[in-house]
Amino acid sequence: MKDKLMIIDPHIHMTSRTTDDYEAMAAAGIVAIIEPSFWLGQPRTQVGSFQDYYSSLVGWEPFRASQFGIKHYCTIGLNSKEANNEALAEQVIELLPLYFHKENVVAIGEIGYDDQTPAEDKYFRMQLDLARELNMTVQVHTPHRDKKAGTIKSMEVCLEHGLDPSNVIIDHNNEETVKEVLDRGFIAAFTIYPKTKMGNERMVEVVRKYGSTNIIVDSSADWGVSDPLAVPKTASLMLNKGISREDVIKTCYQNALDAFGKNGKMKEEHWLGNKGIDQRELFNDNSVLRGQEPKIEGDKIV
Amino acid sequence: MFIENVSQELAKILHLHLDKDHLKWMEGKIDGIIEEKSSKDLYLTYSLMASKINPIPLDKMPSGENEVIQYLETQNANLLQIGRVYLLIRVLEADENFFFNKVENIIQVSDTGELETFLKFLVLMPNSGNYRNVAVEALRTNIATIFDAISLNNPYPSMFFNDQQWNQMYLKAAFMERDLSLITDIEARANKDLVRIISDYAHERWAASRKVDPYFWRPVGRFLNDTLVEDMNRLFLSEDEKDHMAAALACSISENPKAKALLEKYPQIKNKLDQGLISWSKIN
Repeated sequence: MKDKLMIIDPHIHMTSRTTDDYEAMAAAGIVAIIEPSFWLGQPRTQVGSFQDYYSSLVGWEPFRASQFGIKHYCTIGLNSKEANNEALAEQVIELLPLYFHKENVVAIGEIGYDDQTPAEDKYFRMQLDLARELNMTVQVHTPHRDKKAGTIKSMEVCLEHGLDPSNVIIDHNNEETVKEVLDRGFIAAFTIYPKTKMGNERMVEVVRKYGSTNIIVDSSADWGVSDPLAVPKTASLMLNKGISREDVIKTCYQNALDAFGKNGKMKEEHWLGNKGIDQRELFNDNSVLRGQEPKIEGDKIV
Repeated sequence: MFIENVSQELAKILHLHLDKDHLKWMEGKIDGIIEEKSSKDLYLTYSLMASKINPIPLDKMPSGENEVIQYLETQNANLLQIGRVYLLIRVLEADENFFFNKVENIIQVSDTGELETFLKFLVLMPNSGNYRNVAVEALRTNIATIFDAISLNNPYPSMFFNDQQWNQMYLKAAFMERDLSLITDIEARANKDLVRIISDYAHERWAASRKVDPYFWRPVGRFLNDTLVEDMNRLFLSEDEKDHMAAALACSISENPKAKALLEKYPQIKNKLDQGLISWSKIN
């Protein structure tokens, strides 16, 4: 790209990715990311596992990202798959309020439906009530199976619980769902997976057809086959295919910042110009990189 | 080391900076939490602090000098930090038996900024020795701000760490290339084991043709054995004047005749030392 764009990836699970990914992402123009809470590929069995996971999303992972010049935010919530273990879900719901006010938490998420079971419905609604009470943005995961019905139901339940649709991001849209989402005044996010769901080419056509208002591009890269550079690659492709620069900036940067910046935790100043002295000191200090040399492990006294 | 009445001092600062509504909210919540013994309200109030109180620098201080105010200034405390610490101290003062576990839980789930606050101000908590595990755990981090919070400008380690924990902190601070001059009571907490660790680490660095921070030698003076005297000799032969200073300062307080004899071999440096031109603060 000629003038390098700044990119935000508002849905990426960095806990599962490597430092090589961080380096490539920073080189591709990604300045900030949002990491939603999700499941880890197999169900957790203890509330303590959730606590340590959330703690890493507000502790270690933002630090790790900072070492590569990327600002890290997260969303905290009980995901739909693990809402089906009700005894555990009860305990997790009790734990959540301790995390919502942490300094890098921008929304409650990713919450919603997977198999659209009664238990999923119950905990989705509970978390929507918390969002209303605490005036927080919500990031909704829409189901892979029975997507269209699940997406519509997610939105109806959000409205039923008194949420403002402009403060709810509906994620993993496709051509079948996008119109319903935009018509109802929600924010529509698209996940660009290599060779599945939404590919980059299809995303270009969506923007051509629906414009750039309330549309957000993300990668949802995680522990599966996925691409942490999906957003910058899509931005490039859009420009090459004649989408206006303004529309590219909106869908790959500004809309995400506006949508997730509502609670004041995510600010452009975090990555523009000078960072706080601590951040830069950490970044140049490389303490994490030295700490990662295997020989240092052996040097610990304890 | 700290005077009583920490919570009163913090309350004065909060009263100088917060508007009436926020003060009323905070004090009302605290009274309620204590009266109801409600951990739920404690958690919620603690969480809400961040949206009610801004992390602004303190621009007004109560009149009168005291250790608490001085310490807050040393640590550049901001208003949100004061608010959080005040809440925890108040509930602990009211009913430590009930609230201790709850406070531990809040610390356990803290993010980086919160943990930095706890570590910096642990020393202000009632019975602060009870939090030693939290403090020692923080030594294992590679996040510089967290490590600095417990190890730099902080009297807590000197007050509560045993020798092994102290040594762990000192070596890690050198490893992470922190400013060692900001560690309190380096000489008071020096011990034989630490001096061996310092020497071993220096040998490792030298073997890899890397430099050793001259300030790193500050604890060794009272414990110079033959190995360390050799190390001192190596410092005297270095090209860095600060190495000479460190060696001279260490030898000058040693009871070991070999160390005294070594210092005599460098009369120019000894003269400077005798004239008071050499000190650890000059090395930093």
